[in-house]
Amino acid sequence: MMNRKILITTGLLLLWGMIAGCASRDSRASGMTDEDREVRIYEVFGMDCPGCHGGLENLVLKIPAVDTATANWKEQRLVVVVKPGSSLDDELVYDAIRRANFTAGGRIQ
Amino acid sequence: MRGCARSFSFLFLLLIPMVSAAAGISVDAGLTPAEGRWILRSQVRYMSRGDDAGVLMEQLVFPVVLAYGLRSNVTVVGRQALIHRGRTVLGNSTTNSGFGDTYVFVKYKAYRMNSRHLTFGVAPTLGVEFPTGESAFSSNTWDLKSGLYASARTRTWSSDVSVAYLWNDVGGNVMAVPGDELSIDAAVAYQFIMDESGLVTASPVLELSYLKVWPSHIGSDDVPNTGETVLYVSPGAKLSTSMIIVEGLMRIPIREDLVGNQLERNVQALLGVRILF
Repeated sequence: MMNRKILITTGLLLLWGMIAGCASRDSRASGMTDEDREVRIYEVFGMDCPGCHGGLENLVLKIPAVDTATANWKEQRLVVVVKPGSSLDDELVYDAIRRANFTAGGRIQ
Repeated sequence: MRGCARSFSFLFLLLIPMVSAAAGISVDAGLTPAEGRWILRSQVRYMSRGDDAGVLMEQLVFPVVLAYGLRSNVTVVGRQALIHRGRTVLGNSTTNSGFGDTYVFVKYKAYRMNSRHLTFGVAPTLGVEFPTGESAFSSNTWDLKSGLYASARTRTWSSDVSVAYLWNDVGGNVMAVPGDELSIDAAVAYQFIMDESGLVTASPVLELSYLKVWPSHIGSDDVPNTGETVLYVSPGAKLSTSMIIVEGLMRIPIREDLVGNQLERNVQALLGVRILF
């Protein structure tokens, strides 16, 4: 009986993890096209796996002027879309990159 | 005193040996996570010890680890495990289950270098294992554990080296003190990119682990039939996505030097999932 409880508990935990992991992380849902918004691209070093960039995106999204942030470890890029009418200071993005334990290579676009 | 020590030796055989040597895939251990990042890690570990006389001790451990990037250079980690244990002696089997001790530790980013082609990090850890577990699954001691992890990564290769030392019973709470433990691990992994955008990767992993457990002691007397040195080779695999990492590993003891008469370690198996928030 105890074995069954343990197995059921573990199974539920794994299932919950899979569901949480499959949930959409797409933050580009504001209804505007990219042509309407300022898009900046930064080079970022230190991201070497698919799970590396999530922490960076979370930190960049906390910057008030940022609408969306999408990082790609393979391209070593961080794409930031600025909120319409807002001014984004690059230093805030660089600070977020540092706090994510990565290194900014500079702004490409 | 020596007679007392002997009487404890069988107790140690039954209670102590399997929980401590339960590492996992150590790749990336030297690279601390981002500030504000939560990581939930859950595993199922199977391990057993036995002998030719029909004694078999099996253990299923379900550790849950929660890590949080308190600052960019400080990560706090807590671990709690549910343990299910079975013993078979001369055909008679008994099982029991319960929670083990709580382990809390801090990881500090001592060095981190990120370049276009290489990422390298060094992170020491310091932690305490509290005797919070149920009596059958607790060491009943306050234990101090310190470690040093170094990790290097390129886009395809990653390698790790770690050294950890466990001081058992720093509080002097028990008469028969489990021996200290030294573990040294080295791991290498190769990352295959599974899709165009790099959102899914698969990595075969190979670890080599050295574990030295000093004999338990009562005062200055060693407890007979305790203490061992084990060398493991551990092939495994890891599947990574942006939010989930699934990992599996077999720990194969390729060399085992046991002090006195002890049950031999068998192959261990590990299956785990990491969720990155």
